[in-house]
Amino acid sequence: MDHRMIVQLNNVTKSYPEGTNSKRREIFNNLSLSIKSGQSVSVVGPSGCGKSTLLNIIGTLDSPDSGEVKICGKGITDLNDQELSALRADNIGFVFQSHHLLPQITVLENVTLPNLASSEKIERNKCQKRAIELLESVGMADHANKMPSEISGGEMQRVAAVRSMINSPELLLADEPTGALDRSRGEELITLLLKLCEEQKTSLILVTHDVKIASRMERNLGFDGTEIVEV
Amino acid sequence: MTMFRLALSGFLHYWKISICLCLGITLASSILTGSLFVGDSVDQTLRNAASERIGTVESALIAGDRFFTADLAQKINESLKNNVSVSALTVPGTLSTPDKSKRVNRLNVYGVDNDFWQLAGTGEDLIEINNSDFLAVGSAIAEQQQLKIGDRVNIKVEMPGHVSRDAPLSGETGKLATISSEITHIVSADSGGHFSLRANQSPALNIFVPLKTLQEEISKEDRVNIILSSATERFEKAVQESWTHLDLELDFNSDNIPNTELSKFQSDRVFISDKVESVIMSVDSTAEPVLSYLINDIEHKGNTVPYSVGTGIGPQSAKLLGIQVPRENEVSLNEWLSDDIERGGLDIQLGESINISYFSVINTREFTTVGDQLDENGHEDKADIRTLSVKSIVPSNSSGLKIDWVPEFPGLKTAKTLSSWESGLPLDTKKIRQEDEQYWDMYRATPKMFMSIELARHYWGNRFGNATSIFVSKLNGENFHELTSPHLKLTDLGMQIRHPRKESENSVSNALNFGQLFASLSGFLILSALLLSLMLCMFAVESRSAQLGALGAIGFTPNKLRNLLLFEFLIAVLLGSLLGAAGGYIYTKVTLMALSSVWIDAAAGVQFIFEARTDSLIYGTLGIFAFSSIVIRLSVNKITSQSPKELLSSTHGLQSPAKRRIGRRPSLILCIAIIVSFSLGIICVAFGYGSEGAKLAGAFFGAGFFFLCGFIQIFSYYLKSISLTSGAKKTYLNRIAKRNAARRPGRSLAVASTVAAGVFLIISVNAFRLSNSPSNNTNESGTGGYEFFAESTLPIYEDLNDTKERDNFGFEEYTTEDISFIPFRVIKDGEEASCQNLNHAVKPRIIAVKPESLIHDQAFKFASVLNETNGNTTMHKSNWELLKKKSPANVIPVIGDQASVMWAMKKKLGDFIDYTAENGESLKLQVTGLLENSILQGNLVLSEKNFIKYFPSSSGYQMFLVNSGAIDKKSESEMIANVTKSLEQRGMEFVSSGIRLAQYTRVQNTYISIFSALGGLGLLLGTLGVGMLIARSVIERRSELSIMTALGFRRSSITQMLISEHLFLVGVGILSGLFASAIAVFPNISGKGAQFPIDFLFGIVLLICIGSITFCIIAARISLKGNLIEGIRTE
Repeated sequence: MDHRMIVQLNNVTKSYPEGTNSKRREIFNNLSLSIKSGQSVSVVGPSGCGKSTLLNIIGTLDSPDSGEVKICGKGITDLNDQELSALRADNIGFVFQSHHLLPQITVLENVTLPNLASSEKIERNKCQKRAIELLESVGMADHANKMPSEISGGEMQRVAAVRSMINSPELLLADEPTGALDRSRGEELITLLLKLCEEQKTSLILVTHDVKIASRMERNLGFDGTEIVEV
Repeated sequence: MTMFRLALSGFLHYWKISICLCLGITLASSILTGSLFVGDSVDQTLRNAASERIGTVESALIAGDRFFTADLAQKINESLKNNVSVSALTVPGTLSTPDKSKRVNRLNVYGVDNDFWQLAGTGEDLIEINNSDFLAVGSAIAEQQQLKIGDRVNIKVEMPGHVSRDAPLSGETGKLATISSEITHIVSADSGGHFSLRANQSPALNIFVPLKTLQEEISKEDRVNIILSSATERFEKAVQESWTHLDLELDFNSDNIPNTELSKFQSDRVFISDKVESVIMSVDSTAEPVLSYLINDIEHKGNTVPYSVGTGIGPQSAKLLGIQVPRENEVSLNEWLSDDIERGGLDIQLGESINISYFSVINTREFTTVGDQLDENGHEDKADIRTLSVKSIVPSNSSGLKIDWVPEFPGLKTAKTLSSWESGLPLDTKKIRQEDEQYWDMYRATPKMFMSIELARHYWGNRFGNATSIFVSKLNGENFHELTSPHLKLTDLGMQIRHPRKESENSVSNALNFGQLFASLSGFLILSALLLSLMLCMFAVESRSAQLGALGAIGFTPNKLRNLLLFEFLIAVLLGSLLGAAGGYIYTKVTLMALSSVWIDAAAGVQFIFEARTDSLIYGTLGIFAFSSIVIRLSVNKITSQSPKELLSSTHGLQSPAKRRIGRRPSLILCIAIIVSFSLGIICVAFGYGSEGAKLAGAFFGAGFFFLCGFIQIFSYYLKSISLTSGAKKTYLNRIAKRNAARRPGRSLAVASTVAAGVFLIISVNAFRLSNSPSNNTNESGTGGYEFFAESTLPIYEDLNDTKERDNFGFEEYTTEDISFIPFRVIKDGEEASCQNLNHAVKPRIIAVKPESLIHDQAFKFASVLNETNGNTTMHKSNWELLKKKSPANVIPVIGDQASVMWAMKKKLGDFIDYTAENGESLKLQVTGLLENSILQGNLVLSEKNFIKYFPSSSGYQMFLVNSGAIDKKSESEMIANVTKSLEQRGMEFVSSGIRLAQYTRVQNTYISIFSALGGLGLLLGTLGVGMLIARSVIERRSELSIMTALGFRRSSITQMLISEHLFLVGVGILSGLFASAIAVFPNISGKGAQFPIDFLFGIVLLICIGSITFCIIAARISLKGNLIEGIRTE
């Protein structure tokens, strides 16, 4: 087991402007957090507590007002847009509440899409082979050449999960991935994500409202005001 | 998966957007490519017309008012091996049918031989002149007058004088030769039927007769006045090597004067030009000029001898006569004159005095008698006396008197009696006595008096020359060319060497660029099509922002996202640009059809041919492709520069808190921009307030534009303000509508500013339409207050305002109160430089007038004039006085029509236009005044004094401004018909000044119509874009509207709210456009010349309103139709 820290947040502060005046709403204050490689973590809490903001900062989609953020050992505050994109492409996978599959390309092509963005591109055939294997592992190989509009919502989300793993990321971020699915399909998806993460030795950070789903993670985090706590 | 494949998939998947984008680009590309093709077609049409006009002629020698020998062409031909050089004779003429049912004025009659067709034609078939009955008409006349082979026609041409008809002793005017024959050939354009050296797109009206026939008819045997050649560079050299004294119309009398070495040169033109004289004097040191002239009366002690010749002599001539050269105010008399009164003489002794009187030329054939002790008005004037003292008497048997002192004055040779001599001078034959006729019988025109050459020149010298003979001893007919050619060129004598091919190339190359014109006239339409399609494209991108955000999140860099979208859209853009080539073909065909029908006034007389050039195709398609690519790239940048998080969380119609914060207060920059815009507008108004014409219009147009910018900026400020207003106030649907308008200020501004810009452009440009109402005939109008404009085929040398001349012509029943003329001299070979001539005028036509009459009438309105002191432009009351302005040597002040000078000649006030004087001197015509839209378009006006100085051979008047004092239209028409008939022999044509002005204004108005049509289409397309924006905004808010419905709002109320919201935007646009254009067009609508198409503009505004409301209703219906829950779910 690799005990390397995949996510390290030290004294991170984040706030947003509120209304039309100069007031700001504080989301976190001096938040510190470390997540080990291969660990699965859930983040739970009420709406607006800062779960997605935390995920966006970890996913390098947002930046903190202050504090230090290290992802896969790299401090992100000093990286430019290109470097952040490269970091995301090579090291981070995303699964959103909406699948965000491109409707104009096939399931297989959607899965291989992150390879286009990666700085360490896998050769085309190898990439396709890996995509097929991943699809097989989630029971979607038969749908590989279908268009997204030809598969169901749950299948689309499974494809999105596979897509997030194509570049073998060290970190997978899932922002309420079951939000648009019914409970059984939601649980299936979580099982799938955990399976994929285990196989790939990928850390998983899952944002959810669902305590039952959260309980399936190794570690559970929650918000107490502007601070993060183990729950 | 590759980026290209991904882009291609996007292109195919979003096919509706791709098609829309493709169609928009196709439309824009079609219009731009088509506009350039129109330019190509006009260019090629002009080139073809030029080719038909000049055939294969590369060079030409044009004699002006002179005639060179037919042998000259032969000599040039021999000198230029492998080239063809032919001679021809060309004179203006008229054609009529015997029954007078058909008549054509101002046509060119060519006397040609078979060789002419080799150069004049471009086709294979050469016309053959078989016999002397040959008479061919150009196809242009045949088509115009429906003449056919076998029709009998009468061709009338003027019998040209030996010398300018303005010159004294030039003979009688108005002598016409008539050629009556049946038409044997109709000459097509490619056979040379349109032959002309004058650049104009309208085919020349030509008649062709055998050269010999025309030479005989106009008494110019073995003479021609034009040589055409296929040679280029060597032509000028060949001409210079080939001419002889005969080509200068000089006769050399090879018989030596008895007992001397002297021979003499005399001229067919009576007077030997100063240039020729000076060259002869310089190459022959023994040369001596002689000047002979007609003396009206020689008086001594109350007795007079009428009409005698006096001769100015030098030492050698005096020696021949056996006398000393008389000193100043002295004369030597022929013994006959000193003889007894009974024998016809004056009984004079040596030392006694005589008085002489003679005619002096004022300008044209107006003569004043000098020495008759009467002033111009016939009152006694003691100072007007020429008294000379008799120094010596030449004996009647002196061999010197047998010399031909007098050249071949016109009519002299054929006059059997002195009374019948048609000298061209107003001789009073009643004064001629029996003795005078006896002298005529015995001695013809032998001088009766001799004086010094200096005194003779002082009395009788004129612009045509100061010698009538030159005695020489070294120079002769054989060595003349050899000795004089280093110092003399034919071009020094008013002849011209021209290079028609180069000139036509220049004319066409510098002609009005229809490609650019149509591209600019279609600019708004092109821009509308592009913006509409690009707007659709951006909507599509916006709707995919979450997708783009997801791609960003998985590692696509902004650059990759940008390239992905760019590739995707560029496929559609590329396809659209290429399809535009085909669309351009259709656009050109339609435009050329329109130019031949509804827009015919833009290019009257042209039969366009279609031409599409590769470079136009490339520029058109590449231009649109490049422009669209740049705009797409910029637009895509705007979206892809957002962070993936922003893209993922984007919701249509709402800005993120961070962005909202940025725009929470109208920025300082906006406030400054508003102040700057209005300040500039006010400055423009202040600047234009005191000025007139184009300056005023330009200033107000600028002011309107700046005010428009200001209004749009104020509206932007307003939108920002209302978006920040607290919601505490009472909320009405209309208020919600306004707040909605402020949610997307960019889109709202786009709606308002598109409408405003369209309305502003259409109204402002249409305000420049010119009135062509014939009723507008004030002195300040474009007609100058003159009822008619007249042109004659043959010059009119007489004063048409003179009662005696009217009597001669046969319209003496009309006084100058009934009809009066302001005559203009017209340069030969000048080209019309107006909007009616699509070619660039290489040699703009210059016309000359006595400025006094125009100053008196305060005729025409000046757009601007050149200040004499500092070069700034100011207005004067008598701007025609500028023609009399003193200028440096060879600089001539001219006045031209503003449109002609600016557009056709491509010059501005104060600029100089290069011209060549008759003697080959370089002239600079300085534009000192610009007239505002007048009937003098196409010409440059200069003073008659300057014209005569530099173009002495261009005699007579051919253009007239005519004042009519008729009490009603009927009597006016009758009078004009009678005067036309009286002047029929000279080919006089009257046209109403209003109609002539309308011919010009129609061109400008047609251009504005084209702009209005294309701009109107653009505005409608813009309205479609506005409709799309509205539809887009409404559909984006579908869920919100569904919720409002669920909350209990009636659909009609919601529809009303949406209409209010968007009508508010459209209304702001229309009002801003109207108000700004009202400022811009103020000078035009307040002026007299405007013709404002209220109905057209009202229609456009109405269409915009209807279009906007329709789109709003449709979009609201679509949004509110169907399942309410589905709409709510999407929230």
